[in-house]
Formats: sequence, structure tokens, C-alpha cells
Amino acid sequence: MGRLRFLLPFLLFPLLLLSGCWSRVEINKLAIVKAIAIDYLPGRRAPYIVTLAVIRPAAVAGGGDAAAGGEGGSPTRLFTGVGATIDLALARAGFNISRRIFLSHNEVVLLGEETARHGLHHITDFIIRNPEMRLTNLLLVVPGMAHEILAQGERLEAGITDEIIGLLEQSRETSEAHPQETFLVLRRLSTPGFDPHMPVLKLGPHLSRVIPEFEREKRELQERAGGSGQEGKNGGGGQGGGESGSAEAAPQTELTLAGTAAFCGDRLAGYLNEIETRGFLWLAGEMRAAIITISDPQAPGEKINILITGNITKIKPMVKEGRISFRVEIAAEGDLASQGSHTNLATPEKISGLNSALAGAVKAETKKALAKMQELGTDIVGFGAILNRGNHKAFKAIGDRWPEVFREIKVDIHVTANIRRTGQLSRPVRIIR
Amino acid sequence: MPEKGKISPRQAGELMFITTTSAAILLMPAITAEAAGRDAWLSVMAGTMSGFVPLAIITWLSSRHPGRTLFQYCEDILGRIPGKAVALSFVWFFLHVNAIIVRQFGDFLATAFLPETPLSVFNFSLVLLAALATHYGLETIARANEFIILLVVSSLLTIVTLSVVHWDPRTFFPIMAEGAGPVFRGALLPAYFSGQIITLAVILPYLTRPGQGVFSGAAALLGTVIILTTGVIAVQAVFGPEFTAAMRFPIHLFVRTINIGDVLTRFEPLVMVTWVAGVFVKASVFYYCAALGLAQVFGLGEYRPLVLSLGVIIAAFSITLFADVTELTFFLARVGPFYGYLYSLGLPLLLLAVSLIRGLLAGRQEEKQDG
Repeated sequence: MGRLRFLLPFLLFPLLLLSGCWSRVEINKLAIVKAIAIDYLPGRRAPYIVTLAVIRPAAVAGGGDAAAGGEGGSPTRLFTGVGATIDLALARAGFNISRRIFLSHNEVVLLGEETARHGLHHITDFIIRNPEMRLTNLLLVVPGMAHEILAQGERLEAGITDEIIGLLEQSRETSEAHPQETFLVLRRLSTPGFDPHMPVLKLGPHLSRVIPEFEREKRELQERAGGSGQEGKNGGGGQGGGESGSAEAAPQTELTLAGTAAFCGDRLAGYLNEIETRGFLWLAGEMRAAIITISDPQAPGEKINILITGNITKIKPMVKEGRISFRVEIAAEGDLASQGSHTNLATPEKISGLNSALAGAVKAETKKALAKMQELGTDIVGFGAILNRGNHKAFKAIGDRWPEVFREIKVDIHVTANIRRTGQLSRPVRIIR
Repeated sequence: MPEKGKISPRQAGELMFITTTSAAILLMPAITAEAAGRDAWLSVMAGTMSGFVPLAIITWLSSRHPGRTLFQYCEDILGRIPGKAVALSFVWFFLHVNAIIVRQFGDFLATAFLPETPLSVFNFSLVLLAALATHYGLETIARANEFIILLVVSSLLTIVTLSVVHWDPRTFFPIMAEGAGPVFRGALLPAYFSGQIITLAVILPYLTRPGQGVFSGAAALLGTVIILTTGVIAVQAVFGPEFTAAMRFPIHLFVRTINIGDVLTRFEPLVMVTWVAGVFVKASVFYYCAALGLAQVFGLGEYRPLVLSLGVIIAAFSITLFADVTELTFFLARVGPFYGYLYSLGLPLLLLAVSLIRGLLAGRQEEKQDG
């Protein structure tokens, strides 16, 4: 007992120190950032504009319904800071916030066009070193100013950030863009013969405002919506189109995730549009699901929609007498999603005809993408890295000149397409009067 | 004899496994990737395998001097004064390495988790804990480790498994494009870490079956090869070699990339658990070796009175040895390996050579006497 009494003060003393956390920050003292937009204004002394989308505490505390109800307004608030560096601008933004900036829950980083042109290095270095930022943050490029995106109202989700994340998740399925986490961008940045890319988030006027092209685009859009409607197995094309047409009170602007920002090294080189993005995804072997429309070989003027279900791409480097070329083999698979003509396409001969037509369409897309990439001089497929793996000596001989060599490189593209299934119909329903 | 407890060969193997993996897993991927690039995994494999050389030497020495620890047979082999000097330098090595381990621990926690907490808080609390473990003896450390090893291995395997979705095997090719030179340079640090198997030379006499020590050591090294190589492969497959090399603690950032369906995410506490628990065992083993060594060199019957004072030295060194984290990694990458080889390879080889020559001479003398 005597020994215990002696020890008691020593055992109790730590209680004084351990009962509270040293530098704790309560959750209601945190400004939880959901998205960051980084803009760059060249030529200014303080070029960086950092905009933070912070969760509005009242919106969260009031319960999900109140937040979505629209009465209380947006569940996020924007704070902006201007500074000579990103960290400085972030600190400046903090001057306006009554709480401590907390970045651990940040999910998206939007880069303005000029930021991307100025160099990714500044962004990635900030993200990696910051103890709160995660390498799973998704990076996006916004043509124009990035902070304008965050100022948009949400459509379906509880906040603009969720809206963007939803778009990104959806794009993984629909192959309209290729979301990139920060560490993937870094992996590409630090691989020789590989340039990074990011999806493009655009803010465009609503379709109803773009009068001349509106009708055509709307028709196209309805066709696509019709195709994806059948992908859901229980919907006709017309139904899907009808729904989108009857959308009430069209908003001023439309948030679109489509296309790819291609980088040369860590600087933005240019954009690939939606079709070129698809071509790029074919080359990268990342195609998931997409509708490809081909003309019906039997009935000119009519269209056939193919729902792509997957692809395998093999790229082989060829070095002959010092000349480097690549052989690309793409195997595309798809289902017949819908057809415009009345002919029964589900016979072996006609399907093989369709296969070659589809292969042609895929090849055309791929060529477009490749031409754009070579024009911009960005090797986002990683041809250089493939050469490095396949023929290290040849790549080493080129050394630093790879970007220039890539512009002139010859690529043979061979596509084989396979239409596996024809959906719920074995032939079109005969229309009998 | 200062140590009365006995541990089983399995426990010894587990102790050695934790000693050679726990500190290595965090810093090593970056340093080997810096030296060997794409072939870092080959470096790690080869470097860690090289630990079998010191293992063979110390088990051979131990079989020639059964029941004696490293410090004791130093004297048996080299004579009283030179033997004591060499044994003392071993004590210094264990002390110094322990201070480095403690410093790594503190720097990691301060960088990754608690940037506002002073370094001394981490270092002192780890030293205090290790002092307690050392005070209670080898058996206690071994038993604590039996639980900790489950924690360390399972959390590492979980992390690696969950990261597989992000793996890109293309980051490993072309293999050995720059020849074997970079692989060799990259292997220096893993060889240093696996050379720490030298602590087995202190523990061997306290095994219930000392003859099986060689198997414990071999199993520990094999486990280390597997775990470290897997770790390096996983990190590199996610980040690519160049990015890995640029990082301070790749495994930590690596864990932060895990995100399975937005549900299985934020596994950093697992790394912290692995690191804290593993390093605690490792620090305890080195601490124990230093304390026991000092007691045996000076012929004390008990090492426990030395524990606290050694702790003060370790704690002080852990703060003052390096000014910042840059010096620490520089030391580990450039100086540490060679310093380590002196003790894991150089001195044991010397001991073995002298022991063999003495054995030969003694044999001849016996022959002469017989004849």
C-alpha cells in the first residue's frame, strides 16, 4: 500500500495534461471547404485568385430537407482571396472567414484556363505538401474563369460541388470525359513520354439561347438521350426525349462536363472536343459506354446507333532504320441500340457489314483525336512511355526531343469491331397498316 | 546473468521481423526510388536478401560460443581490453541507431499528423515507453510483439490490397534499362535495414532452443523481403517511380489515395498504428540491446539500473542529432548504410575471422600437446 501511495501522485499527474487535446479545433470552428477554384490573371503582381466553396453551417444543421428546400439558398458560400501565390491567396481568403479553413474534405479543384497555362506544377506542389489536401482531389480545367462555375446554382444535388462530383462520376460511365485524381496527374507528369490530361467543365448558355444551332443540337441530344434510354432496358427513345424537353423554367446557363484539356508537360496546350475525347479514350483503352451513330449501309439517310460496351487497345512501337512508328490495334465491342430503317439487320452478313462500318467510325474518331493531339504536341496517350517500355534504346536516343518527334510520328490504326447483341429485339417490329 | 527470461524461437523471429520492417517501410520507398528509379523493387528485394550474410555470420559465431551474447564473445575472441572496446562500440551503435529510429518516429508524426506538437513530445513518450518495456525484459517485449505483429502485418496487407485498383503495372517497365548500377545503389539502404538483424546476436542465447535461432532469423528476413517488396511495389504502382522518389513518407500519401466507393477511405490511422506500434517494438529491441550490452561489458549483474540513464541519452540524441528532417534523410541515404555495414558485416566478419584463426591455433596446440 505504501508503494501505491507513493506512486499515486505520478499516476494522477498525467490527468492534468491528458484530459484535453492540446491544439484541438471543434467542428463548429471549422470552415469545411468542398471545392477550390484557382484562377490566374497574368501580368498582375498578385495573379492568383483562390475561391473556396465552404459548407454553410446552418444549411447542414437545419437538416437535409431545409438545405434542399431552396428557401435558405445555396448550402455553400463562396470566399475569395487574391495573392501572389496560391498559399497567400488562400490565407487572404481566410481573412474573410470567421472560422479556420479546413481542406481535408475538399474533393474538387477547378483550374481556370490561365492557371492551367501557367503551369500545373504550382497547383500539384501545393496539393501534395498541404497536410490537409488529399491526393484523391479531382482536377478539372475550366475554359475561362474557374470561380464562375462555383457561383452557379445547383440543379439536382444539394450543392454545386455535389453537382460537379456527380457529373464526374457519371462521366466515368458515359465516356464523355476522363476524370483524373491528383495522383494520377502526377504519375503521368513524372513519367517520361506521357502528358497529363483533365476533363473540361464548361459553362455554356442554355440550349434555348443558342438559337441557330439549337434545333440541330436538340435533335442530336434527343437522339442520344433516346439511345441511353434504351440502355436502361425499359424506355423508348421518345420517352426520354420528351422528358428532357418538358424541363420547366430553363436556367440561364448550363454546366457541362465534356471534352479533355490536354497538357504539354505541366502547361495546358489545348482542348479536345467531345468526339476527340472519345477518340482519345479509344486509344487509351478506357472506353466504357458510348453511343456511336453510323449510317445504315442498306438504307442511306437512316442511322444506326451502337452502344459501346468495352474495348481493348494494344499499341506496339515499331522502330525501322531509326524511324519510329506505332501500330494501334483497337478491338471495340458494342450492342445494337436502335436503328432507323425497317430492314432486319440481325443476320450474319449484315452484322459483319455493320461491324466494318462501326470500325470505320471508330477509326475516324481515333484519327481525329490523334491529329488534334499531334497538332497540340501533347502525348496524353503515352506513346512515348510505350516506346520507352518496348524499345528503351530508341526512346533514350530521342531524349528531350520527344514532344517534337511525337508531332511527326506515324501511327497505323487498325480497328476491329464486334456487335455482340441486338438488345431486346431480334428484328425491327413490322409496321403493318 | 542479467537476463533471466527466455523466449521461443518463434517469438525471436517475430521480433526480428518487426525490427527489420517497421521503420523501413515508411522512409525506404522514397530513398530506393530516388536511387534505383523503376527498379526500386528489385533493389529492395536484393538489398533485404543480403541480410542473410550477417545472419549466417552471427549464428555461426553464436554456435562457436554457445550461451554467450555478442558482447560477451567479443571479449572471448578479441581478449579483454580490445573485446570490451569493440563491445562498447556495439553498445554505441545500438544507442545511436535507436536515437535515429526515435527521431524518424517523431518526424513522421510531426509531418503527417500533428504539425503543431513539439518533436520532444513524440520522442520522449516513445523513449519512456521503450524504457518501460526494456525494464521488464526481453520476454515482455517479445510477448507484446506477438500482438503487435498481427496489427502491423494485417494493416499493411489491408492497405496494399485496397490500393490494387489504382495499380498501373506499366510503371515497372522497362526493367533494368539502365543496367544493374542503379539497382545496386538502391539496395544499399534496404541492406542497412536488414543488417539490423545483428540484434539477433544479442538475443540468441536467451532462446529456449538457441540452435533454431538461424531459422527464426531466416524466417524473419524472408517475411521482411515479402512485406517490404510488396510495399514498394504497391507505392510505385500507384505513384510511379519519380513521384515516389520526391515524397518524404510515400506510404502515408499512398494510404491517402485509397478510396473504395467513398466508403473505404481515410486509412491513415492504420498507418499511424503500424508505425507507432512497430517502431515501439523496434526501439525497445535496440534499447534492450544497448542496456544489456553496457551491463555485460562492465560485468554488472543487472542491466535495469542503466535503463533510465540510457533513455536520457537516447532522448537527447534523438533531438540533437539532426537539425531537421532533411539532415535525417540525407544521413539515412548517404551515410547510414556504410555506418550500418561496419556493425552488421564488418565487425562480425572480423570477430568470425579471429575466432576461426584462434580455433585453428588452439587446435594445433592441442595436437602438439597430444603429440
